[in-house]
Amino acid sequence: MTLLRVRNLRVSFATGDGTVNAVNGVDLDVEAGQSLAVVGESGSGKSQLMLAVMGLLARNGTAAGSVELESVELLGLDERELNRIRSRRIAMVFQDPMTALNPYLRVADQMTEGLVLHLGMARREALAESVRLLDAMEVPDARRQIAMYPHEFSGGMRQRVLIAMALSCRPRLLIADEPTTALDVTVQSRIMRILAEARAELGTAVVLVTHDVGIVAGGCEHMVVLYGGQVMESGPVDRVFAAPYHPYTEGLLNAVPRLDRDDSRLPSIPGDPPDMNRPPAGCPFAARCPRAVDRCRHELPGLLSRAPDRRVACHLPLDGPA
Amino acid sequence: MLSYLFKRLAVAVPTLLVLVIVSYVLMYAAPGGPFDTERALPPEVMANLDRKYGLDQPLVVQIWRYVASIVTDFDFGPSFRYQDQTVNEIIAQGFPVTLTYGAWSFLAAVLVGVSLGIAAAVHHNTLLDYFAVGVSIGAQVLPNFVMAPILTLVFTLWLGWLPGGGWQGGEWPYLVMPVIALSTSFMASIARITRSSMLEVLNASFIRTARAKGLPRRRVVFRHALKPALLPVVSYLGPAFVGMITGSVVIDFFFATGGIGQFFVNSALNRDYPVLMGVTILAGGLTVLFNLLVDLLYAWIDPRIRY
Ligand SMILES: Nc1ncnc2c1ncn2[C@@H]1O[C@H](COP(=O)(O)OP(=O)(O)OP(=O)(O)O)[C@@H](O)[C@H]1O
Ligand SMILES: [Mg+2]
Repeated sequence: MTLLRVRNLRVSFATGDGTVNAVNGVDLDVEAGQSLAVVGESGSGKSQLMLAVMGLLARNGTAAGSVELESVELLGLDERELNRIRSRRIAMVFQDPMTALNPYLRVADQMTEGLVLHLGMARREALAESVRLLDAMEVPDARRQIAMYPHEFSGGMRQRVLIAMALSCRPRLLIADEPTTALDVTVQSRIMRILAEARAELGTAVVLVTHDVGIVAGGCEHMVVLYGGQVMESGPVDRVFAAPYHPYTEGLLNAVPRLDRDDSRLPSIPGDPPDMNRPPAGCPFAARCPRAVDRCRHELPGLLSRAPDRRVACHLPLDGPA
Repeated sequence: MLSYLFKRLAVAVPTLLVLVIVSYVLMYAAPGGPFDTERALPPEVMANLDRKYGLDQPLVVQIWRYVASIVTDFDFGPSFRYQDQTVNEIIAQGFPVTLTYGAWSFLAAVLVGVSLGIAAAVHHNTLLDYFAVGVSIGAQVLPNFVMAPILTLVFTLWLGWLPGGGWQGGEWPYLVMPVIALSTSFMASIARITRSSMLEVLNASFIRTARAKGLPRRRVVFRHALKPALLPVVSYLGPAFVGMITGSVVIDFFFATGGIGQFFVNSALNRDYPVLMGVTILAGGLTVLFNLLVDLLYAWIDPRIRY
């Protein structure tokens, strides 16, 4: 059964100078236990898409469309109904581990409160479970560390605390927003391994949000490429990597350092992402696309199936004419 | 922590000493003397009085004697005006009054102000918020010297519910109006500060984490947001405390409560130097002590601050 089913999701923000359309009609499916990568450059709407799923948009934001979790529509639920789902069904690790923990509360207090509230554990029991979770995340000396305040932890350790906390109530779906950004490379690969283990152990589906295509290859089964708040391409990671259909995907992949190629200088995609205040009429990528023709600038390409399991929104996909 | 405490208390001693010296010099420099009257006294009498109270000595000697008798005997000297009373007796009489209505005012300002601020922030942009903002803006333009006559007018003269003044050992009918008059503007400031800092904290990333955990809103607000939201309020408590000490002068004047503020004004008008000095030192000492408490409270709330 499809665990998470997102249809035509739109997120917009009311701001001083008009409406910002951060997400523009995104479709997304996550199967139970699956791992899905959502990739795209900064500002492509990845975080807002996921916050909309959690019902945690900023005050000036609204979401429209449909977000179904296990066939239950989440958009339109009130805070109390959402609170029954958060933690137990769906959990999220936010983008910046340095600010995501409450600096005024001990790590122990922050970790145990979910267990006490959602699983009805006694405080003592919840504390033991939290220590066990931190141990599993390879936090050294967890029994002592858990009594400390977040500022006494490094970024990597905080990220582990956040992941442990998010997994503590064994959710069906874990959304991890840039869990490895701002961490050094060895810590990055550890975090990725921890996520993979959690998936294997708990059967938790993982949505990994990242602008770093490099970590997607080993860590995820499926991927969705986002640009200008729209899905450009989706499909199994190995097949998309082997032969991307969308010029934007190709650009992203070319920006990844690879062993089989001598690239002292990475070709990053020239140009800037579109202005979300005034989205272009045609393909949002047209202005930066090396293959763009007139049609691209006037007509928005639909997200169409091109091969089993693979979709692309492009008038001139890389594998031949549409 | 303990060493910090001692350090702070050690710094307080020279602080108070400077306060004593500056106040004394200012009084000394002010024209006129404590025994000036409408009809000038004969110079011999004046000289006798000055000798009796040591006012014939050079300034340095006067200050030295004053400080020495405080340090050795905790004696703040005799009152020049109330011939049969010492400064210690006057303070012992007035201070409990000030402390009683002062403490209630402080408590009321903090409790009501913080509650109002939280309610407004949590229900941001609702009628409740507008109401709270309206009330606190209104209350802020009602300092004690405006509140006091209004209260007296309404509750004593029109409604006849409350006595217009007096103390009677601090029974509540005598307490109500002084407390309201003294606390209103501070309550409003605290409400405003709490509201804006709570609004800011509720936007913090760690609050989103708390909400993502599915915690009920009450827990998010009181467990996760309250402490950081209170930090600016704590910083304001020091100035508020000083403001209330100053305000007590007005309260004692309007409600004849007989607190320390009354003696402060009278002693200044009468050039009753020892009383004026005693009250000044008391207020200064309390302020130093209170600011120390505020700093400790701050460190207790914010774990990143360690002394
Ligand atoms: N509260 C808000 N009000 C107005 N605009 C917002 C708000 N939050 C986000 N946006 C805008 O929405 C767009 C998408 O932001 P989003 O956070 O989803 O980007 P992202 O893909 O996660 O990028 P990054 O890799 O930098 O995290 C951005 O243009 C951003 O400025
Ligand atoms: Mg983001």
